[in-house]
Amino acid sequence: MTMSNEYLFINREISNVAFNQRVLYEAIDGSVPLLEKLKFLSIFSSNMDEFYMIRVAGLFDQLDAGYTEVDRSGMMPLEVLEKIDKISKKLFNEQAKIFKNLIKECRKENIIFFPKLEGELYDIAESIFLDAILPLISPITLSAANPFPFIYNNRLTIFIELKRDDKFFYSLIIIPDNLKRIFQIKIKGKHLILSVEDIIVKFLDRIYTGFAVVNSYIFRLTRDADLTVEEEGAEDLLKLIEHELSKRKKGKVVRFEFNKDMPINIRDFLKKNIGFNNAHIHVIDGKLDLTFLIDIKVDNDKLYYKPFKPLLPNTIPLTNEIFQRIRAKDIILYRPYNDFSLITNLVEFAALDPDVLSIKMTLYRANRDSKIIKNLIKAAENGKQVSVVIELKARFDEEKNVEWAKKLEEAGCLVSYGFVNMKIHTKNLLILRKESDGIIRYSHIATGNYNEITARLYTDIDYLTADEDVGYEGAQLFNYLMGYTEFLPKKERIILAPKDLKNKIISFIDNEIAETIKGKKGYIIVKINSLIDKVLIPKLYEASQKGVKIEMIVRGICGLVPQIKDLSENITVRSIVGRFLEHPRILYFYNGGNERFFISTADWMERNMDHRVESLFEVIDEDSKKFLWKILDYNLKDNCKSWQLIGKEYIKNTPNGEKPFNCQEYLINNIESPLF
Amino acid sequence: MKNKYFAIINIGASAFRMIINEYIEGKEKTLEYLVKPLSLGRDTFTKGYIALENVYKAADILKNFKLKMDEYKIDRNYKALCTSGVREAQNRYFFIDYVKINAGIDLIILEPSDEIYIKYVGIRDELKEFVHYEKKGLIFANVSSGNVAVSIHKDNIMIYSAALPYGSLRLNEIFKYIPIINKYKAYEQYVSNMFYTIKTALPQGFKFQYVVVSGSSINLLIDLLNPEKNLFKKKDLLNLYKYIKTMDINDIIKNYNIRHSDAEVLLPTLTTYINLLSFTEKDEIHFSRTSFPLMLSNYYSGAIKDKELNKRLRKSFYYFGDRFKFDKNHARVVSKYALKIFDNLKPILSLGSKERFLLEVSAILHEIGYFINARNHEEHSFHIIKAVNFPGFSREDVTTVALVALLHRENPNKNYEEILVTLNIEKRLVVNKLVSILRIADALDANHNKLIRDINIVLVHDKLRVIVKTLKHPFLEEHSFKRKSKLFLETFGIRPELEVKIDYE
Repeated sequence: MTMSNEYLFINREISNVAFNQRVLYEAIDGSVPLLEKLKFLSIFSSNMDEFYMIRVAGLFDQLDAGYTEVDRSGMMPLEVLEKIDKISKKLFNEQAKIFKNLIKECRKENIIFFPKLEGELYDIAESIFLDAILPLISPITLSAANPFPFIYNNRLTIFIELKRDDKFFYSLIIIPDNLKRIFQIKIKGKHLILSVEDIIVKFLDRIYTGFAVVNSYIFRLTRDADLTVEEEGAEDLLKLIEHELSKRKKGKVVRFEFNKDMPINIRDFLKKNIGFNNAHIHVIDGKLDLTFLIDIKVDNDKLYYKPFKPLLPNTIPLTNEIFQRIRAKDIILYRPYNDFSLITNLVEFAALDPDVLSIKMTLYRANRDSKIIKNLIKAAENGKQVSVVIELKARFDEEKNVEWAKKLEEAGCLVSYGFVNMKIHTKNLLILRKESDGIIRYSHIATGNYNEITARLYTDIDYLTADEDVGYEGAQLFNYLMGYTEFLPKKERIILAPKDLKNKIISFIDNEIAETIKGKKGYIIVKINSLIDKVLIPKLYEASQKGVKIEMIVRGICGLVPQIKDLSENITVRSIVGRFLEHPRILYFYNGGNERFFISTADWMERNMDHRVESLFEVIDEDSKKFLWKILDYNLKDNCKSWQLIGKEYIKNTPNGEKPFNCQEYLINNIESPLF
Repeated sequence: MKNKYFAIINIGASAFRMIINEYIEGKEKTLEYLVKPLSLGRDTFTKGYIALENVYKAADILKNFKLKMDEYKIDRNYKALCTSGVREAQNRYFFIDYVKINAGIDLIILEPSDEIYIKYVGIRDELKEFVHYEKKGLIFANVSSGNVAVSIHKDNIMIYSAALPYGSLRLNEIFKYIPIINKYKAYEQYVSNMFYTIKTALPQGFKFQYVVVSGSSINLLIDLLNPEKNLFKKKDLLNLYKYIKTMDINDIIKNYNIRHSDAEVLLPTLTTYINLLSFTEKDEIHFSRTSFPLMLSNYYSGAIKDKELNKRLRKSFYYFGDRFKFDKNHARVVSKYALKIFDNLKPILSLGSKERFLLEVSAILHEIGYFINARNHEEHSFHIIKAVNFPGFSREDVTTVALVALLHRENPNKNYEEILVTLNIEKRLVVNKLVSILRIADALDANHNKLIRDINIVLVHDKLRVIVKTLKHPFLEEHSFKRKSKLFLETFGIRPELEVKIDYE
């Protein structure tokens, strides 16, 4: 394939599955503690659930619409679906095998999965059944008066064959959302893990008195859960989202999972009555839906990652003096190695500080019991003007965000829901403070959400500055998000998508190309989560062909094919999958020796570049630039948790005789030095 | 000056703008700058009124602007000013009232002369060379959506000033039904008419040395031409013009990545700029990057002051008088005497320096109506003065001066009560006071021959002694004084008395 006709692309969905495969393989990595391995199985399951609910559902939509165009990777929707089905089946089989092996490993650590409900355990299970389960379930035995019920998305369901007086009956128990999936019991030093479906099946005769239970099978449906909000003319976005949420549970079936012992006639019966034709059929060897594994807790530290305390540099005061400290010098932090609570505290100080006039914040995914939100409410109650831009459309957090929006509005905050067709993905906090020499604006710019829980699990950059230009543009940004004005930056310290961001990146790449053409050095490092943009990938190929050295650190989806002669031989792509979810976007351009560093919220996808409000922020403080350089350097040095994309295949990096270097572990132990 | 916050809201023909500035020791720092497009001008210039839907939209925008003011706890330190989009709308008072009730913002209509004056002061403050340009021969044009405000200066005199209805949005609306292929011709014809109007007001053979432009059109052209320094070159403007003159709006948007509202006004704007250069026979346009809201903020907050204003206006009024072949010596003498009386009456006048200047201008122009006819010349003066449009000299000031000139002569056959009742009692009193003084001063040169060389004023109890120095007894002036001093007595309750002193040693 040459540059003149078609560029080489890896299919987005296939690349997505490949990322989940890397996640799955963490569960067989010898360096990962046992219970953490279980977590990776869980993450794999929930990622694949989301993948089916959104991406596969989208492909089925294309198929239904008769869309047969070939995409950039040369594939039609049907081909992609077939390939996904094939790879997914293989991966779910692998997951089942890994889980079986891990169950054996767990047994050695006195963690017993799904023990037989006999003897003493029978009595315990019976109590659980009667106390915690039976009051919450509603069996439906099918009859003329009881037609086949609607089965909601992702609900584990038990299908029961019953017999009475030589007559067969079918019944269904849909396990409700508010019922625990597993019950953990500690007996004689052993952790016993009981599943809800095992307990129900064990006591089916208590439910169906007068019937003989012939057989029972577990299945689960995955439905299209993409929230399509037609906002044009929507009077109240809040109400619209609430309405759409109620519809999500009822989307089209895209996947049908069941255990291999379910006979064909039952499968056909279900298929007919649920009403789907071409969903992917997954026959699972073992337990369905392993997302519950993340909830397993045992009191044995050695089965988990070594705990660590996020560090706050001792030069940063956790008092009201923080404002003076920020004025004196910009602060850059790297979560979770650095302590995100600084930001939580900053909002609290601002809420209580009589000199603070206003606080503005974007909220994309906040956690339950968020201290930040509580402090925003406190600030509003203290008479400060609090403006919050909430993204109601943040996938799977819509319900939570609707809830927050109402609370904040009630407290007197100015709440805005952003734009009709664009998600607001930029993460900004702005505090206006009246000081003796005028109004000072304190800006916080982050690559990650204001979420105190994920701040411990995702890596992200936090940047604090009192720089006037940044403050001015931050205020502009909020005015724009609140619908007060157009975005009119003065110095372009903050660049926004969809307006300018992509073009700016293109101009930065062009600049490196121009340098290389002049015979000088062209060098780019990009750390992002996904790369699939149809304009940026060819631009990177072009830069490679002109001799620009490009090092891409792309955690997840990557449509670019590196290391292809005459196309991308100067591009390397690596992906780091480890203890923490790699999340920051950091861009580096050599720029003729006058190096430029940026942090961003935008992945290099059309979705982010063209349909979301994302930000790109230039870091100009020299120490902060060094800090970012270190992060990139460590990412590129990692030979324990990184995967190299060679052509279209990911190969795991190994020390290969060199000193092992695990970037995340290194940062846990060395965040104090040499970064500070 | 202590730290203070000042907000300006500018409701233009195509957009709403707001600036919040912090003034620290007199220096300005922009804290916020907001722009929200809403084309009130489109309604006003085509239908003559602002459509109700846009009144609602405007109130919504202004509610948000009000929230920004609340954030800085700005309660009174603001001015919300409307230009042509509202000013020319028939339903402007309803608009103002609706905004007041629904957004809590008091709107003020900015008169064209005030608008151009503030732009003039703003650019004068920014461009160091501006004073030099004024001396050499300058045309200053503010090309905005509704109007093109023009002032022409030479030797520090304002030769001409007007707000002409040729703004880019207005042109776009007027010719919106003309096909693209011919639209540029329509613009050219229309704009050339504007320059014809200007030409008629200029002295024969007037040469321009500099062209300076400001206005909302600047930023669009800066984006497209990316000029070095603050200068647009004619060849660059022509190149762009040639390229886009028959281009479809959508292609302009696509090719230049600009907003629809900007694309619409690009061609009329360029037409105006290029014709301006042809008219002045110059090859470059100087411009200011300072936004109008910032100029407004600096002006209304008192951060920039125009100390030379009265001096400049005085010169310009004499120049204006010259155009109407007035008796300059008489004007000078009358204004000298009027000011002398004014200054000596200070303790009882309760008038300030502004009214003093209005008196001076009235004295300069009171007989300008002679140009038309000596008979009823005060009425002619009134009408000529009403046509005055000098930046820095508000409509209200013009009206006062015109009325003072109208009433400077007692005309038993005329009753101007109809005009005077339109004034409130305070204004009416001011006019009366100034007319009382002007009549006396005018009487003292009734012969137009400077018979009286100088005067002294002594205020004693209920008497105003006007002691005049002369070489010959001024019979006509004496007679005139008697006749024209009645109003003074009625106004102040003080009897003016003329004492003639033959000036010899």
